[in-house]
Amino acid sequence: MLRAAFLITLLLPSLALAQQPTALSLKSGDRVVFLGGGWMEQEQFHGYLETRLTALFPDADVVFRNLAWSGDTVRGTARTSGYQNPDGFARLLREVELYRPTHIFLAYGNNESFAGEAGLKGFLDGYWELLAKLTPLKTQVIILSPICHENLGPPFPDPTEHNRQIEAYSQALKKLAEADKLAFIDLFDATMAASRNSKGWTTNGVQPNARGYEMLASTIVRKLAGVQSKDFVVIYASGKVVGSGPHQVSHLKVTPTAVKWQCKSPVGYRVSFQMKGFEEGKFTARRDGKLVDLEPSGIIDHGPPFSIENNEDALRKEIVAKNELHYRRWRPFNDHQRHWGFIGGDGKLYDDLIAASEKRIAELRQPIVSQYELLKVEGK
Amino acid sequence: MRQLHIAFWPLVAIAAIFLASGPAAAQKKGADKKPDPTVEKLPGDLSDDPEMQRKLMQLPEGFEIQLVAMEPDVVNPIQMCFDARGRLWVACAPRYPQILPGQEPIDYVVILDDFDANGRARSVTRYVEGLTVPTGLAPGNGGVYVGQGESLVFFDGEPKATRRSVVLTGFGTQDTHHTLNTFRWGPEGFLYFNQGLYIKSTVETPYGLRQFFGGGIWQLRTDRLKLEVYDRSLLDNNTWGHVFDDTGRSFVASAWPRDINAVYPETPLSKTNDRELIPSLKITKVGEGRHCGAELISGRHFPDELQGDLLTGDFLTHRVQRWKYSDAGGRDTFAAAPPLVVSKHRKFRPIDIKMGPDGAVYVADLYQSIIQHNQINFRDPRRDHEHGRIWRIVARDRPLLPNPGLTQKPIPAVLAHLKDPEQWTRTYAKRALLERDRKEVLAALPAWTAKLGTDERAALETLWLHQGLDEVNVPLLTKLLRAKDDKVRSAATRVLAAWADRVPGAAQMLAAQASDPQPRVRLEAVLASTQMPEPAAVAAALRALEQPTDALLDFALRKTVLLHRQVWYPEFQAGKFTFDGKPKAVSFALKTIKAPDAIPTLTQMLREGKVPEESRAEMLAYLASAGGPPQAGLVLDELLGKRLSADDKAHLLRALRQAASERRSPAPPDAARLVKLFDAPELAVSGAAMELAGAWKITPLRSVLRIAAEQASTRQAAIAGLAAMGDPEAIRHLKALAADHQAYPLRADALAGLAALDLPEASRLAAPLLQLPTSAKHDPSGLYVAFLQRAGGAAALTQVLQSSPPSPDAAKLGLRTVVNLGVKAPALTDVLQKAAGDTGVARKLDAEGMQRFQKLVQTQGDAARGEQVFRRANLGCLQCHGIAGGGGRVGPDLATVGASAPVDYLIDSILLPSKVIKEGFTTAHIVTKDGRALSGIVLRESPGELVLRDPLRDEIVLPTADIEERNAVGSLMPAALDQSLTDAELVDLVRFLSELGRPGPYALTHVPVARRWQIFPATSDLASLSEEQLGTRLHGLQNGMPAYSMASGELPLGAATTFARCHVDAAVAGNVALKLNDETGVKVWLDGTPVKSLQTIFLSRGNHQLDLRIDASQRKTPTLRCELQVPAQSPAVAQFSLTR
Repeated sequence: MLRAAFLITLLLPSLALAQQPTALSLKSGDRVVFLGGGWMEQEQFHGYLETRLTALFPDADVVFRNLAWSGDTVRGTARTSGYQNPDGFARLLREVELYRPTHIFLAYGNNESFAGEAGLKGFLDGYWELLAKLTPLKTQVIILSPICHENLGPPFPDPTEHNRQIEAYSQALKKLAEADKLAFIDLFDATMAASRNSKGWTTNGVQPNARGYEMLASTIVRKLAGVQSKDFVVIYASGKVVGSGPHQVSHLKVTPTAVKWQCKSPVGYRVSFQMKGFEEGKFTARRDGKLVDLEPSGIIDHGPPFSIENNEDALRKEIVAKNELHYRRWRPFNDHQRHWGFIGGDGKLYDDLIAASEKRIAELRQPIVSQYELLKVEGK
Repeated sequence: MRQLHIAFWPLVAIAAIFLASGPAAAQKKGADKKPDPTVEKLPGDLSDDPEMQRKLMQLPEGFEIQLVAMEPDVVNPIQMCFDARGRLWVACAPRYPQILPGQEPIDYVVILDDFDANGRARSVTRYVEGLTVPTGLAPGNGGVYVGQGESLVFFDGEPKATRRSVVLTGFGTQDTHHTLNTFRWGPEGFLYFNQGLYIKSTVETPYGLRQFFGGGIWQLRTDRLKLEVYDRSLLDNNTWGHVFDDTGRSFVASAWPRDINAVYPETPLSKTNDRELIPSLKITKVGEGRHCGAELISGRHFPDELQGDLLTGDFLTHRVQRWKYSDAGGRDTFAAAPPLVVSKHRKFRPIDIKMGPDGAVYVADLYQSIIQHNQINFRDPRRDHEHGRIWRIVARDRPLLPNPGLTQKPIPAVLAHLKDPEQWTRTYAKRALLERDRKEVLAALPAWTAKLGTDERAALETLWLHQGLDEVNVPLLTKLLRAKDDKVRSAATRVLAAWADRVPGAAQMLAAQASDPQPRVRLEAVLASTQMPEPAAVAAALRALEQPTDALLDFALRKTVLLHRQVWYPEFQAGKFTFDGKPKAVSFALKTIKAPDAIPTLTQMLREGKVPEESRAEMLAYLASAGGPPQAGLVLDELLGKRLSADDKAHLLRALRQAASERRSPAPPDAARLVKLFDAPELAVSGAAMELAGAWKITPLRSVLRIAAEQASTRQAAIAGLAAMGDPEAIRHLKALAADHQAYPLRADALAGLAALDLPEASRLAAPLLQLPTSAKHDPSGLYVAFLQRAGGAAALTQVLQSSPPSPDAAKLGLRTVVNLGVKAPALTDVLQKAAGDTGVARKLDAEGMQRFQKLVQTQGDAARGEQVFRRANLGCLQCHGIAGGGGRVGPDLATVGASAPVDYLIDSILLPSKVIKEGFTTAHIVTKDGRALSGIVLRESPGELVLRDPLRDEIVLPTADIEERNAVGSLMPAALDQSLTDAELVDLVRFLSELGRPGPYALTHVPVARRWQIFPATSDLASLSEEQLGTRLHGLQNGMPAYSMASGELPLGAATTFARCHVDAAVAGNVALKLNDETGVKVWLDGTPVKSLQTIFLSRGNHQLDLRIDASQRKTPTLRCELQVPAQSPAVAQFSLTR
């Protein structure tokens, strides 16, 4: 039986739960550019990172553009395609400047790391040069370390030695970031840990798959914005709500037979509710009127938290669709001097399609507001 | 008759076509909106009825073609590939060549199966949909690998794809017809696929980054995703056909350039893009033609006489072309044989060919009227996005083979198929085994291997299976390295290279291969050494020097020496590695790496007589170009001695001059003794010596040069020498030589020399000369060239000509020079046009005018008359464009332009040359630091140098450091070219071009005919000579007038005696025959020696000069057609030179 004290209806003001200080904050008009090699390039076709960042700042109209390129190095060496780009680095700078980014994610080092110790100095020199060239843009730089090489077993190569090299590159980048007071995210450690826990987050050892990108997105958002992709909200019988993360609980109402509240969550961020201080009993839970599975027994209080997914698939798919349009606009098939006359007009068509897609993204990124209800089925 | 015909031209109507768009044109547009249906109706049927299309195909007796599948099941098939079960997978791209933004991706892969007796596929499964321009595919490992844009994607699931994973990404997408294509499983079960010349790939793999820019072939081991560049020798090609023969050698067929090449493994070169390490096409070329798709005929369904023949899709001329393979004399060749299919249907475009498990030949037919995508808009409404056909060619009265059931049978039964005569079955038996449980296959292998006995081919298949399984088998390898069949020994040598780090004593085994009696085994051994970075392997490879080498072997030797330089050279310097004390190997290696510190060693070896005689001239040439004054002195000693031939002397003198002018290498002491060579009987030697004297700035020889300049034979060389000296005294001499009282040719040449030193003075003196009338001997073209090739030269000349206009003829020659050089000099052109009386305005055509003009081409154009227009000297067409090699090489060859380009494109190309420029013909205008001005197409470029071609020179190498300014310009082809043509002539010209390469009198033939000639005047002094003397004289003649055969191969002759010269390149020595259309009045000399019988002419390896005297007064035929034939028993591989 619920205690009498909780007959009081607690009408909480919209409660912003305590959040850790965020290193990243996005507002309307911001432009985020992702730069790097293959894993960052392919991120746009999975879209986890961009989705999580988009959902976290639902009121902000932010332009995200992925300009990473498979095989690229910090000197832009892969960007010499399309006949007017003899110098890949010049192209990299020209295209970054075009977007006037307010934030830029740098994901370099994986390709260079194969050169081992001998290549480290050249890599760092290149990195310094890139940072120097970016300085006039007054953009917030976020340095991502290289990711580890997953061991898939024979006949794939044993990556032990390569990982030692990647670690050295990662450590060197960390020092570089500290020296320049730049945000740094160690993905090497995170991916090594993932490799130990469960195999199969890459397709070939160096290229993440969907699971890998989900894990990388979670890691980056957690480290950068202090936000877990799965956050706990603890609701006490006293009416107190304690939790972390980006979820907002309001309209909490506790009666002896029912607990009701509203929760507003960013798309893609799972929320777990844990009920504390309640008298034991068997409950049913509903989210927006629909039954929610209460594992294991429907008994709350001492039972485990119950988790609610805030499905991001629709938003992520739209983001991927937008990225595909941008990718094809930026790196079209037949990007060749002799074909420009035929495809030159495509740019405008793509721009219109991208703008339409970004409108849909603006709708899809709105937080998910749900009404929750716990109803007592039987007493102790 | 011709006059009369022209009088019939509807002149008013034509004039209306060439209106600038304006109100009148707009009004007319409204009045007559309907396009004229006859415009598109060119010869050939366009019915979409497959039965109609089938009936328009001609096959040899005994063969039949059947429809396997058609739209809507198959649309725009790009590539097809069987799986081990015998199902045919087809990549279909209705959206080809470019999806429109927002369009739904609808391209797909379809599986065709269960073929009925008439070939029709009863089972059609769309395996995966929603693709965007898939350009290649290979089923395997339970799914299908698809090349799509930047990615290699793997789809799997049954019966349709349920999963998609990107296997590798980062492949270039610069051109959809260059993206990943031509997928094929290799003999060892690796996957091979190609990319074209504009592709820049940067692919991340678990083994590191793989970068490759240009055309080539990738090799992928799918089990471990190890990606390597298999071939980069065809960097500038679009290779759309790749076959492995029974012993694993690769032959690739290219659409561009049009040829068939042998390809050798290049894997270790994935670390470099060094052009020195890329074999030239000339040495790997084994056949001609333009191809998409290739397959070797193999198996019991086809008659014996066709076994081993190559089939390629000749999509331009609507045929499945057949090529007869020969390896006579150890040299591979593919010679054109009668085609397997010729179609009169204009949309039949065979672009992929595969043997099936049933032993029949399958053909993918893109079914398009437009095939090009460079010149024709991607969204041109005439592009077909709805049709496609797959055909099957069967031999009537010969049974088809049953499906071997490779995926069902137990392992030993599958192994037994490695002895089958069908390459299809052997290849897929290995694939099927590689997809079985590895342990079970390994367990079955010993019993199988024990049963092989003396069957070396089956043993080779087994060795490859081991390679695919990554299971080293040293006994089997050792046995096959010494097999009886030299092709098996070659193949085993490749496997040795692949396993080198796991086979003990590999370098010793390699040495035995490098000493093999068969050249092809020696070549493989040298190539294998490129994958073995150790001094012992380099030394083993250089054993090949102990036997005769050829160009390819020589190249491979240089490659291995260069590649492993870091491995062997330090050891050599330290005295630890000596090439087993073999001086030949030492001198070869040192010369190859061009190490500056090797020059003294080489000089010493030369002085001590340690350099083998046959390498002597080459070594001297290297020292001449790379050495300093001591080496130049040594070379000069040799030049003044008697050991060297005149050709070698001329070559060395040129090398010294190049070193002096490009590297500013000073003259050796006592250089003035060079004067002795001024009297050499050979002009090539005396002239080169005079030019060298200038480059070395031997001022005491100035007055000797002045005297030589007044001799007709040495005039140009002596003036070049004076100009190169360039000091005030030399300038004074040049001015004196250019004075008014001197003879015209001397003045012109002296002014040309002066133009490089003193432009204002040269132009001031040029004006009066240009006012004189011109003639064959009084030709100012060279003078114009000298001005146009100096920075500021055109401007200086324009300035003086404005006040003193040239004579009309001199002006016309000036205009022609501007055209021929391809330079843009608008102000000078204006002045010259005024003086010549030209208008200089090109026609303009609006859309409607274009349609009506096309109709005129169709109804009134006469190709034969058009060819005469094309050949007119004042148009300069032939100066830049060849037809099958007959003509200039600076513009695209037009042999098949009619088959590939629609009529409107041809018209545009003449009226507006810069509107669309064919790929590979980018033009640059360069000004060098020393003031030269050059325009040409960019042949290639690297960080260190830029190589151009202009109408006068085949290759101009410019060190990047010497380039002051570089601008991209439009087409080299001059605008307003048409203005000297009447409307009727223009119509004829377009008709001629539109017929080139199409079935009919202007079809492309693969018969080797002489098309490039030099003509020499029949001067009176030649008449008195004996045959022997005449041969020697003719052989020494230089600077003949270029002339080219007509499209038919016939060279038009004048009324009198003509002396004509052509060249033949022989890759392999042997007897050839010359077949003339009429032998009357013709006498032939080979390299100066009279030819006794045209039926038997022995050619040694290398280039040969054929001089012909044709007495037209004795002949009834007004033309000469000269065909090269190789008798059946002869090993010769020869062709008319396309460069000389």
